[in-house]
Amino acid sequence: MAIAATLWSARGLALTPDVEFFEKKIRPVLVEHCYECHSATSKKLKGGLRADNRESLIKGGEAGPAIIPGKPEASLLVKAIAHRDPDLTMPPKKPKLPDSVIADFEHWIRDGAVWPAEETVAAPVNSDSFDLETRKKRLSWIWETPRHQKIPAVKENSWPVTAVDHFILARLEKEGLHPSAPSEPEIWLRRVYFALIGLPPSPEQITAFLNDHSTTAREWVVDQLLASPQYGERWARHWLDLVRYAESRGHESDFIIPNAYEYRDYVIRALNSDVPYDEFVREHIAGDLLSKPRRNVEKGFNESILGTGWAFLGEEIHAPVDTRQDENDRIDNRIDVMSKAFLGLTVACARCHDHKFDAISQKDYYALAGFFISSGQRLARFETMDNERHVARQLADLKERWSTNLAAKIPMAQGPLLSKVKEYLSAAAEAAIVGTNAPPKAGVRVRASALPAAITEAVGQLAAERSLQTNILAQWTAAVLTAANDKADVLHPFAKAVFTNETKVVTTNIVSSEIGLADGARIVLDFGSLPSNQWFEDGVAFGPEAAHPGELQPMPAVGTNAPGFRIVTRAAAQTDPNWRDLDLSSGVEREPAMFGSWKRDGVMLRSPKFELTNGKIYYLVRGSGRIFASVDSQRLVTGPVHTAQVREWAFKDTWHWVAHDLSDYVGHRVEIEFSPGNEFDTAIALIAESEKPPTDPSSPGERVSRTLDERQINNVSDLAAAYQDIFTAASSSSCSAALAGRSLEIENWLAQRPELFSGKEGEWPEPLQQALRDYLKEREPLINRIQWKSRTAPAMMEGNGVDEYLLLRGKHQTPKGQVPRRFLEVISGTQPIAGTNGSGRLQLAKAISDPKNPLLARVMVNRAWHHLFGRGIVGSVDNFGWLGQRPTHPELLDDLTATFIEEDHWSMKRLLRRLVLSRTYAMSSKPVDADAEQRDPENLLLHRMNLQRLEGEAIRDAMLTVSGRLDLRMYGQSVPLHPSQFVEARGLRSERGPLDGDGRRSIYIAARRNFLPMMMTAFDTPTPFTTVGRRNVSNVPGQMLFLMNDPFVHQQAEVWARRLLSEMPDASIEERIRQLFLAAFSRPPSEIEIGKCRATLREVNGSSEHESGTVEAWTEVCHALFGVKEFMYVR
Amino acid sequence: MSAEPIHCRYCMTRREMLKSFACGFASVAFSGLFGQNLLQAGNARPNPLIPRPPHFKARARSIIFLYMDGGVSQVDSFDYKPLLEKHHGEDPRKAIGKLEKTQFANIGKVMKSPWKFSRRGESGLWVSDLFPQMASVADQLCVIKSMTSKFPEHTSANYFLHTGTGLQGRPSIGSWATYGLGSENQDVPGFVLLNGGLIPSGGMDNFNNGFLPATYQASVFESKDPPLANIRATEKSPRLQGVKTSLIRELDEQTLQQAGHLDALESAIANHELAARMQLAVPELLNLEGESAATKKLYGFDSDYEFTRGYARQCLIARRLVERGVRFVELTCQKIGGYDRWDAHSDLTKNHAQNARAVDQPIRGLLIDLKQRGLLDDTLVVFSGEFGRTPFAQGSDGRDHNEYGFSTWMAGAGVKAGTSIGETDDWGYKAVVDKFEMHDLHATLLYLLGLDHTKLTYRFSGRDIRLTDVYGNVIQQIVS
Repeated sequence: MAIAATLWSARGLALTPDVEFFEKKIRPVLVEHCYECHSATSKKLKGGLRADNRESLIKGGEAGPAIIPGKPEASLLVKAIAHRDPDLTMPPKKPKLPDSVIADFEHWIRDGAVWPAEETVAAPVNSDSFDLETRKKRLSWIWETPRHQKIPAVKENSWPVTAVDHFILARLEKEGLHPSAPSEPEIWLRRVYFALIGLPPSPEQITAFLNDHSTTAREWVVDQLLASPQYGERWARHWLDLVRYAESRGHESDFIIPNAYEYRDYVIRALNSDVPYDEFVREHIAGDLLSKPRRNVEKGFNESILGTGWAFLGEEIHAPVDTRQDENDRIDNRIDVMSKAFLGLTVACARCHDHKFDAISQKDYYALAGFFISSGQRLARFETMDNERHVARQLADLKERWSTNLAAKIPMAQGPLLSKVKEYLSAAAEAAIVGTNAPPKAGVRVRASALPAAITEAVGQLAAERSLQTNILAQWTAAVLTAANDKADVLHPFAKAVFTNETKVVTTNIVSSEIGLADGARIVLDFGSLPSNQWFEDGVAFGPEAAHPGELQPMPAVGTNAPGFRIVTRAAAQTDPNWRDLDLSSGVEREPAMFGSWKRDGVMLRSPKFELTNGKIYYLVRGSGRIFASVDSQRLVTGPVHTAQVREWAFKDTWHWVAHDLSDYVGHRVEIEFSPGNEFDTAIALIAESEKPPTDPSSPGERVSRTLDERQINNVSDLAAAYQDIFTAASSSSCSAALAGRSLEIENWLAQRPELFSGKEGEWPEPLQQALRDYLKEREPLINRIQWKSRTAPAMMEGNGVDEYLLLRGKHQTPKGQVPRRFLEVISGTQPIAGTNGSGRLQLAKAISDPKNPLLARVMVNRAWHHLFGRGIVGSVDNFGWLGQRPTHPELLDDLTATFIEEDHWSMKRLLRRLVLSRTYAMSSKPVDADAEQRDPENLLLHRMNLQRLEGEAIRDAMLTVSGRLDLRMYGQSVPLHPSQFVEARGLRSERGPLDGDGRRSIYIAARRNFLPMMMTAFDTPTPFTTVGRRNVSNVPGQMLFLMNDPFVHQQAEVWARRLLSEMPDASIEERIRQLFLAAFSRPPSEIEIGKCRATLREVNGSSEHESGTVEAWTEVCHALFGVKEFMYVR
Repeated sequence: MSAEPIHCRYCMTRREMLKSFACGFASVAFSGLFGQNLLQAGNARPNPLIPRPPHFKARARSIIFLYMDGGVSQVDSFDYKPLLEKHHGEDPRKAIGKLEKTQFANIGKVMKSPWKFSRRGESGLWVSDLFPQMASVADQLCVIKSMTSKFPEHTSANYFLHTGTGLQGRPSIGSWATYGLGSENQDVPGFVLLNGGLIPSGGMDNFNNGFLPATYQASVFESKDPPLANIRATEKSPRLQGVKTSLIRELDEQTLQQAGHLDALESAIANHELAARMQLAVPELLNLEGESAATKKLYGFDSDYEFTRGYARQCLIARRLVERGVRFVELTCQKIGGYDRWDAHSDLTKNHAQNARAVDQPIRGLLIDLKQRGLLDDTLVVFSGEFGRTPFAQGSDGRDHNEYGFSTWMAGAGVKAGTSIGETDDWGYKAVVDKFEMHDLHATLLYLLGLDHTKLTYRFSGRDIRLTDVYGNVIQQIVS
């Protein structure tokens, strides 16, 4: 008690009367009644108030200043101890202090609250206030970069074979303990097999090992195992626990996460090819952004991007009512998983307030949240995406070269005819009205080859009379007929006059503004002026940037496959039809959501995120297309709630505004995803938000009307003459670079009607036609390089950088200022990620995988240790923080970590090899030293090896191995579940897998979030909701009931028995029993055990006829062996 | 009560464990087996289901949770609102005022209840004709009319009701209860889900152990044979089963000798024995032959409605379970063709009538039977959905989800019979007086079991986690 008093007396200050009063009357009361909760020694500082120094009392706590010197009546402290405020009575839950004491306090405060000068003791550690440095000091070890440590000297010099052994032995010797004897070789072999590949050794492998007396026998085994493909499967399962891997989203309907298994396979491959751990982590954070992604060795596809899929393997809710809350929860889960899996930190604890114990602030949390908000989700065409990018670049180059060439040839192709437009149009006007046929409806294209006979005849006559070309006149006549009812058509004013004799052009309906936006409208996004770093595209179908007005786009002529071109009329994001046949490989899973049937993967353009102000969104678009407005990055939209987020449009070649009412989501962040419609002819110019609806921009026909309106028109012939002028002007402008005054829509109209100039459908006059053919010829090899079909996998997609708000108490309703994106302050300081318009994940990846990061490697080395030895050096493998456990051998962990980084270059295989070849790993697990058991009851010092229960997956895999049913096929879609009759709930798929899962390893059995296999949940496979680096090891009767009665176990017992009899038809009972024991327990049976099994066989057979046993009898023995505990334990 | 996961929580000595297994059929073999090694008892691995003392005196020993999947309409059952009759057919935006977003955003008119409300029994509790049978035992009920949830859709609300968070992966309240108190019967599981056939939205994660050891997950019983996965011995004859069991036992003993008497191995062997006993005990439990005709009739076994018979069976089995010391029993609803769950988005009348018909008599039977047998003194029966329903229609004749106020009742151990607490507004829309959250309900249930919800914690991923997170107050008004 009374630290301050001690300090004071040590100073030997003279007592003034004021000080004396304080020391006698005030301080003792404070110490006795207040310090427990309000001092440096408080376990937890209550109300943020310290009462152990004057400044703190004056400063006060959450309720305000506790004392105001000179004013006792205004001082909270007096109010509190005098119980004047029922909500603030001190000391709490105790009787009121005597009135005399209260009077003393009033006296003391009135006289100025004298307090002798003294040193103030630092704030209590559990104080609510957050100070990074203080927090850091509490656990300084974890924040220091691990370094090589001095290898400790040991007495028993002959024992250690590796550095690991020195550390372990030195610690044991310090406690006066001895390491256990080595295990029997076959026990070591079983141990290392399960540890490295998760399968037991076969009897043959055991025999071979026991007969190998070379000094390198163990090294040879370990190298074989690490080189085995099953190594990756074993250690991938450990990793999948960290990233809460599942293939469905849980929640109500357990919707699938399409192609999640690609991530699982990525992990297996990465482990098998021993990708350095730091690189593996970089791929997880920013694999989609690496300038040189890692390629699959055999197939060349992009491996790196697959790493980013981990983020999307969590639970997802369809149709949450509060989407913002839902986004926060999703991101919280990602931060939780990322910080625990990679760093052994519980950053998610800082969502609502600064971390209660560790050096992690609430700002840290929201600084990380921004990375996830800025990174979207997609199903990436990982097999073909790089090739597509490559081909797209070459196609762009080709187009660049050819457009100049083609543009130069247009006047040559169009010119000769343009001077005769008046004549052709006049004649066409006469031919078109021959007969009684009404002109077709808008949108129906009349073909010259299909004109009514009467018209064809008239065309022939008129052409002959007027020295026109019959086939060209027929085309013009068809064009007039086509335009008659289509107001948007350039020829419409003319055709209308032909059929109505009304030559007066009506120009109402023509808007004043070209775009048609109403006053007060806000242009959210103009694709034409979007900087390239804001162009977020999944794939290449929308090209590398917006198409520019006047740009010439080679493409098939409208309605034909003949070579042609189009002229871009408006700056817009526009699909390149070259990519229209992109497709998914067969069997690839699609989004289950409302837009799941759309073609989106690899052909999607996403807007930067923006905040909705009134929610009435309008898009200026052409062609056909599809829109998904992802609100708060929510994308699992099914059911009736969020249908508003989905919108489709289908127009022809004219520009329209499409309205999208998102007013339910005002104030939310939204990103708009565009994907092509069925025609794959999609253009988006603008996104606007407007109270009043905009008017469609005038169509080409209306524009022509406006031009015509300015002229003196008296008859059809005048009109024809006017058109000749308009067309000539438009055409001649196309070879000039000047954009101003160009009538691009008219130009484009002409560009798409070669037949008006050649008389032949879809064909230009030479040499333009030849140039187009040459272009196509050059294009062909590029197109042939496109791989049309691809698998897809969940992956991140770069978005614009968005900083998250700091949400008070974690609630989105109370946002404070935005927190710039950055890594944890305690590791990398507070400098925000700089110089990027995107998410900044590349920089995050760099920071997290920096060798100086004290935790990344150390946490991983500890995980490896945990899996091999049954307990981590830090027991709480996912939490190195204050509430975690302290390391049993900190120097060893540091030294191993430094070795892992510097010598092993982050190679997991080298790390594991180092550990399993240690003498420590080879110790027996048998408790023989009573003294050691007494003094190290939890075996924290590793005086012997730990016994380990196998995981459910390993038990099942072991059953398949011994029965011979194991199918080592790797990768691919998961084998559907074989649910028992007890499994039923919404979302259970109707497809049923076979009882034995096709003999595949457990990692390939469907991991449906809501339907984990019963065997696995009984054996502690964790619910995949967050990182679980250390599984529970529980004892549940369900485990034993499973082994006793489950049909799968029975089935495998029979398979095993049949295998035994067919492989050893002539063997003796003893030999067979020996074989069974070797397979199941990796050791030969004792005489007693053989005797017991024999007796059982006899019992089961019931008679002596089948002395050697029937299949049935052997099945019962095999089944019993599965139930023996040794089967599911590794000694 | 915070703890390392897994092992060191329950400190049972080998001697205690031996004693607890002493009546099992393998007692002879095991006494020999354990006897050799009692010297090392300091390091014993405990049986995590051994009964544990509560934090303070428990009111209830067991809980039967009648889960009303989909959400019963409060204004059609226990929360009488005459104003709905007066304003029936009016636009609720005008009559009630500003409305909250609903799940289906298809707001119809103010809708009165199709059922007549009356005061019942001596207590005068309001119960509608939807539940005529329950109405006859109204004097046993303690109705909370001011429950709220935070989630307007099933899955999150189910997780919230069962686990205290709206997300997957947290331990169910039954798991917390068995974690806190163990089980009073070592031959049956401590937490049993009597599956009527309709696993609610969110699936088995409503009943899972989450991050608690698998020991505490619900065992799913069905009202059929076999009731539990892998519970029936599959050997052709008991003799064969015996032969195999003894082979396993003998080989296990060999293993112990070779590997050393490690606690984990010994616990696993003991666990095997437990499974074997359960194999005998569970089918017996489900065998209702010994129940009298009168008892069966009371529950509704002779009803002409098959779903009444189905729920009657569930309720009777629930009684047999608590009789045998099972800590937490939850009943899920049945698949009632066309009207699964109380989720009456349309045709409320038919939906609620059929669902009520299924559960009404069996629940009355359960309460009476428990009382007759003196079991109601230490058994708490809880009746609740994950949320309520809107007082205005969805479309023309349904009701949408409403998390702002709904009714829950409890009966039996520790609660005041024949009372009602809390109130919703005049429309039965939002709780306004004594508004309670799920956390309060959870705190109360644990309290009645003798557990302090702030002290029942489990260390997971760096935190001592509670069922009630950082919230929850015991609803003292209902405690008798």
